[in-house]
Amino acid sequence: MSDSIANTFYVNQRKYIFSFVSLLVLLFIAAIIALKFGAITLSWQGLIQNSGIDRQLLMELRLPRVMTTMLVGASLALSGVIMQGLFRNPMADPALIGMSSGASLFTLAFILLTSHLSALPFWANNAGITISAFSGSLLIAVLTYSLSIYRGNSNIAILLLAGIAINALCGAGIGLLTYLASDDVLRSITFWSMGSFANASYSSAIFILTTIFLCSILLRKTPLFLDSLLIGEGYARILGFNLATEKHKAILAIALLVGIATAFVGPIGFIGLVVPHIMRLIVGNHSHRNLLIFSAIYGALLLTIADFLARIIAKPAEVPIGIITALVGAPYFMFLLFRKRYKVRV
Amino acid sequence: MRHSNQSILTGFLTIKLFAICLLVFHGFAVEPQRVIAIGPSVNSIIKGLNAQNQVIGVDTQSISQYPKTVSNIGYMRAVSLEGLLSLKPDLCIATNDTSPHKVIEDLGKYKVKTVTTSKITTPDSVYQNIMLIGNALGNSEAAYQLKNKVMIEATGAIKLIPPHTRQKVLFLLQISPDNVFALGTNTHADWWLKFIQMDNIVKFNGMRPLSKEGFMALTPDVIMVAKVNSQFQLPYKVELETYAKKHKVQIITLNSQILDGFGADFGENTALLVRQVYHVR
Repeated sequence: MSDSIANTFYVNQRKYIFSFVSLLVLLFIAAIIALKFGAITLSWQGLIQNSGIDRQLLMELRLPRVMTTMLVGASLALSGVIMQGLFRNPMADPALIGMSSGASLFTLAFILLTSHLSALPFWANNAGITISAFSGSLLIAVLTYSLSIYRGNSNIAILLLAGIAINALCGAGIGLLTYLASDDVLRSITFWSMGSFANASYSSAIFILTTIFLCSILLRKTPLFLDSLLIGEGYARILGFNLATEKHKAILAIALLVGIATAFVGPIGFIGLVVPHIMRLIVGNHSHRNLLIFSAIYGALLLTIADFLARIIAKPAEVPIGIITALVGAPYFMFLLFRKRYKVRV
Repeated sequence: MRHSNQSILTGFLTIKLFAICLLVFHGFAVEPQRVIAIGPSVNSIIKGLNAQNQVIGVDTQSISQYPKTVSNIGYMRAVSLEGLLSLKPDLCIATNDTSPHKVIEDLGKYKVKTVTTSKITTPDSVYQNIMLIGNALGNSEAAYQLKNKVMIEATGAIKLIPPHTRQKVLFLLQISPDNVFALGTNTHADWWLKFIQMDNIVKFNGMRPLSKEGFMALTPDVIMVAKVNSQFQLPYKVELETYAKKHKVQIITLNSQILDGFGADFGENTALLVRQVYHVR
C-alpha cells in the first residue's frame, strides 16, 4: 500500500516536472518567435549584433513588448487562480466582482477629463491612465468586498451579487462617459477598451514585475489557504488561518494584479478565466501552489502567442489583442464546457 | 610659381565648393520615394498633387484610392510603429488627429522624416496643409498651383451665398439604415455649417443618437443627412418626409466623406454644399 502511494507520488512528481519543463521550453520558443517575427522579420544576426536597425527594433520595441506581454499574461492568470480558489467558483473572474469595469471606468473618466488639456505630455497621460486604472480596480474591489461583509465575515454569495450590482453601475458610468465623449475621445476610448501592447516599455515591464513580486510576498500563505478552502472554511480555521485576513490579502493582490495589467494594456479578457481551467487538466486542483506556478507560465505563453498573432495577422496593421484573446478563449472555453472532460471541483 | 600654385589651390577649392553645393542642392531637391500617407485629407492632397506613385502605405479609410501594391497600415487612430517601419518609409505624412501621436514622433528615431498637418480651424489651415505636403514631397510648384485652385473654388463658392439667408440646419450622420446621429458642436459638420454661413440647430458637444421625436422637436429649416453608404434609404423615411412636407423643410443627402473633405477637394466640397443649400449655380 505504502509502495503504491509512493509510486503514485513519484509518477505525479515526474509528470509535474515534465509539464513544467515543457511549458518553460514552449514559453522560450514563443518568446524567440515573438522577438524575431512581426511586421518586420528580424535577422538572426540582427538579434545578436550590437548595432543596426534590427538591434534598435529588438531592444526598443520588441523586447519590452514581449516582456510586458508575458508579465501581463502571468498577472491575469494568477489573479484568475486566486479568485476561483477564493470564491470556490470556477466561473469566477476578476471581471465578476467589477475590478475590470472599475479600472475601465476610472481610465475612461481620466481620458475624458484630460481631453480638454491639449498639451498633456505622453508620460503624464500614461501615468494618469495607470493610476486611474489601478485606483478604479482597487476601489471597486474594496467596495464590493465591503458590501459582502455580513456579521464580520465576507459572504461569498453576497460578494457575487454585489459584484453584479457594481458591474452594472460601472457599466452605466462607462455608458454615460461614452455618451458625453466627443468623437475623438470616443475613438480613443474604443481602442483602449480593446487592449493593446503597442505602448509597452521597459518601465511597464518593471512595474508589473515588481507588482507580481510584491503579491507573491503578500500571498506566501495563500496557496495553502486556498487548498484548505476546498474542504471548507471550518477546516481553514482549524489549520490556523485567519479567514478575514487571508481574504483581504487575496483581494488586495487580485486588485493589484488586475489593476496594473489593465492600466498598461487595457482590459484583456479570458486569460484569467480560461488559463486556470486548462492548467487544472495538467496539475489537478489539489495543490494551488502548483496551479499558481503553472498558470503563471501558461498565461504568459498564451498571451505571448496572442500578441504575436495580433501583430502578424493584418501586418503592417495590428489587430487589438482583446479581439484575439476573445476569439481564441471563448470557443475553447465553450469546447471545455461541452466536453465536460473534467469535473470542476473548486 | 607660387602664384600658379595659389591658382591651382583656388581652382580646386572652387570645384570642391561647387561639388558640395551640388550635393546639398541634390539632397534638398530629392523627392521622397517611399511615403506613408495617413488620413483622408492628406491622401486627397497627394492625389491633387498627382504624387500617388510615391506612396507605399496608407490608412484603411484611404486605401480604396490606391492600387493593391500599396499597403494598408490599419486605422489611423491605431497606427503601429513597427508596422510603419516595416514599409521602410523615408517620409510619413499624417493628419494632426492620427494616434497614438507618439508613434509619429518616434519615427524620427529611425531616421524617417515626419510631417503632421495642422488642425483645421480656418480655410487657411487647408491651404497651409497643401503647401506643407507639397514641400515635403518636393513638389512646391504643384502645391502652389493646387492651393490657388482650391482657394479660388472655395472663395468663389462662398461669394455665391445670398446675404441675410442664415438658416437653422440639423446635420445628421447615418451610419446604418436605422442608426442616426445628430452632429453638434466641435464636429466637422459644425465647422462646415459655420463656413457656409448656416446655424447648427444642435448645441450639444459631439455626436449623439437621435430619435424620431428628437428631430421633430428641433424644428430645423434644413436637414442634411450625411450617409456612410449611399445605398441607405433615408433614415426615418416616412416621418422625415411627412415632417418636411408639412413644415416645408429642405432635406439634403450627402456622402459622409464630405465631412473629412479638407484636402484637394475642399473647394469642390464647399461649392457642392453651397449649391445644395442655397440653390445657386
